[in-house]
Amino acid sequence: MLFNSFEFLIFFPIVTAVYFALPKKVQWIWLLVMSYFFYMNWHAEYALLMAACTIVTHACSLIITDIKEKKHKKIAMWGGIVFNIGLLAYFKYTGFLLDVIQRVSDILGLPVTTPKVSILLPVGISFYIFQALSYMIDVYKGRVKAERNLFKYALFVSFFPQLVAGPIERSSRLLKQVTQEHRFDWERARIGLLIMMLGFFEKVVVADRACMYVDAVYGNWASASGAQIALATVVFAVQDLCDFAGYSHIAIGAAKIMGIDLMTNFRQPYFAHSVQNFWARWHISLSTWFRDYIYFPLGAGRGGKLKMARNLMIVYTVSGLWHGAALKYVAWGMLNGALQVIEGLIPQPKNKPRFPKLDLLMHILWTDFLILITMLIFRAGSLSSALGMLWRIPTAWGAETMTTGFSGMQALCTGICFAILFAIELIHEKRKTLTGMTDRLPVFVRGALYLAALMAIIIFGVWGPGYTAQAFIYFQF
Amino acid sequence: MTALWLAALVCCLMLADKMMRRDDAERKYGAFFEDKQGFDVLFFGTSRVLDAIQPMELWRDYGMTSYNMGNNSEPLGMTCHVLKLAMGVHKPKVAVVDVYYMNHALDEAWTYPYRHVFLDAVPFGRAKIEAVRASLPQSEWMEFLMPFSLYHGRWDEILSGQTERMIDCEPYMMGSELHVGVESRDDYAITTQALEEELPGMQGMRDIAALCRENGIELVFVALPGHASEQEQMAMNSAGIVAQELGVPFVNMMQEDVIDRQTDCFDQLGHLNPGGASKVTAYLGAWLTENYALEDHRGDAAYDFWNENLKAFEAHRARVWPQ
Repeated sequence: MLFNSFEFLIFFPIVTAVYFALPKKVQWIWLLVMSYFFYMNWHAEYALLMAACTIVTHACSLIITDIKEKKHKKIAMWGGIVFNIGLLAYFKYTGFLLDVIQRVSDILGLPVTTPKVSILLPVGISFYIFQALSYMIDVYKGRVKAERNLFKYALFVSFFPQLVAGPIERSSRLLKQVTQEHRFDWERARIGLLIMMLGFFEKVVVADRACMYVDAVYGNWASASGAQIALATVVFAVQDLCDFAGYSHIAIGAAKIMGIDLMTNFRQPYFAHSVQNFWARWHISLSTWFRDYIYFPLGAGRGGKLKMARNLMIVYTVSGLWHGAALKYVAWGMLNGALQVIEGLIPQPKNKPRFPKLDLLMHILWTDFLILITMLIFRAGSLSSALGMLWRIPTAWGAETMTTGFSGMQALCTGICFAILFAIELIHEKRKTLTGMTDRLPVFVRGALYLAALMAIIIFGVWGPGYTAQAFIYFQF
Repeated sequence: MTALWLAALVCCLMLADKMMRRDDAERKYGAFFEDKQGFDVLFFGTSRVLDAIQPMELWRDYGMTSYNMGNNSEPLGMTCHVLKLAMGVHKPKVAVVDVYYMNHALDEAWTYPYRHVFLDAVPFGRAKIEAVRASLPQSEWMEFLMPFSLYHGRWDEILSGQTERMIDCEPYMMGSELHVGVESRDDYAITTQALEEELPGMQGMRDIAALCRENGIELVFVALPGHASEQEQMAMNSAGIVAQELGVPFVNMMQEDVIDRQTDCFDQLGHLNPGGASKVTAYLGAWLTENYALEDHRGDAAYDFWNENLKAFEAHRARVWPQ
């Protein structure tokens, strides 16, 4: 069930209404049942995978808690990790691995023919497995206590708003919240709805319209001019942000209505002044996951710049693989790692800049330029296409433009949406909130403003049978 | 406060729905659904009917009140649902159904978009829900029951002033179209052969006959003239056999010398221009008057608005088709 589907518009109000109507003690049971129902809407049988992940990590966590011997605790933890990563590897990387073996064999002239496999990737598997692993590792490290009730823990793993595309929550934040009793609160509901509205604006108005242009150019890049590829890459950068941040906002808003606070997942990433800073603002729940469970255990920056560079490269290569089983994702991850390594090697200026704001702006623009290159690799059909496109941008800059089917009105609408989005991001960057700003307005003006915004989303949104419902980009991860 | 806001939202949605809708449905079927007096004859079928039957000429020449319910690419299975929904509003004395689409099944997906013109005009209610569920696959229900889900995407078309009509019809035309132009299409031979197999439209014919029988409506099947391939003609001839089995009159105008193939069509598909339409309308008008006791309403003051519509129609016809 997609957030931008008619089914969700029916599902969510019903779930929320029943949730608050039920006796407080059984609220979490209802949420658990509905979360599994939500997930089973894609492929019912894949709920078994989620259940297996839940049962194994829960059992391992109890073993870790209950046994005394440290060595046995470690075996239990690694058992859980191997099981879950094995599950992820089978569903996500079998085809990729066989493809790599075939390629290497071909290069080496070995008589190897790997079978062609087609395994359907269960929606959100990377997200819930990472969330479950973080819990188990936290129990092992003694950061959290193990939850003895399997079903309460199952709700933490499957909580539907953030189940399939994050934010990847930590048990220290979410586990207690989802199993707590909640009362309906009008103010929370209002703020939750506004956050959801922002998410829908980002997803159905901005991302899905931008997607039409990006798909047209990237799908036929050899016929596009260099300028078109460059423009499509800029548009994709906004699409990717809106697609993912849109999902996160809908998830955060929906959870807030039910009385549950989810973590912020994006903090104006295109205002970052360095690639490192970009990753502190983009998909924060995943970046911090990699930081806490891979980068820190590897030793982080301890042991000199070389070790730090090695650790960064490992983390970002894994991050690339997490995003997708393809060489382009590995290259994308490695490039992000390499850029941060290089940033770390550049000495910081000793004096303060004469024009700090201009200096900041130049840093932001340079960072965005670098990120755009990585985005192009991320979006391209393959690594060779990405290299071809990067070559075509300067060499065919003024070539004849291809027809994209994107009308003047669509372009104007996209431009206006980008401007609105920029204004919203700027407001947030200045540490203000939209709700905070509109709260000062008289109640009728505020109501009219919300109504106008909602109507604009409904009319200008890419939804309904006239358009193909666009799945969220991050569902495939 | 929340209730007030929700009420405002509903009003805004209704307004947006009205603004975004195509007006084809209103122009084509608005006069039918708004009419209070009813019709003597209703014509059903495909675009052939749409172009070939002029209700205003039937009024002028015979005084019968009729409505052209024909719609583009309408399989006979769909005609049955159109007839059922139409009967819920006005029950005619005679229903005339064209059999040109004998070879087309109800579930041919390419014909779905054309159904909007009729179904968008039908007020929301149980009958409409039943018709949509029975005539379309589940994947299409939403856009037919909630057309705003489809039409909200028309904002760019509306803002750029590039709206296109699907049907060239005005309310005073009582559902018909006037398409001008002359295309000679004389490259087909008339055949009297019929197909032996069961055709998709045959069940539709049987259902239509049963529906008319249950409701006391006289039914006539017709094959309108115009270009038709040998296969299409054989299918229409098969329809004649089914009509005979059902005990329903069948007027096969393909076999009659009603139109001039050199001058009476406006396109290569054999759709009739106003000249050809006048001949077919006159032929059918005479046949209906001869076979059914249809009242001549021309002297009745209650039908004065038909005369006003006739003036508007004739002025329009003279403008687009001066010869």
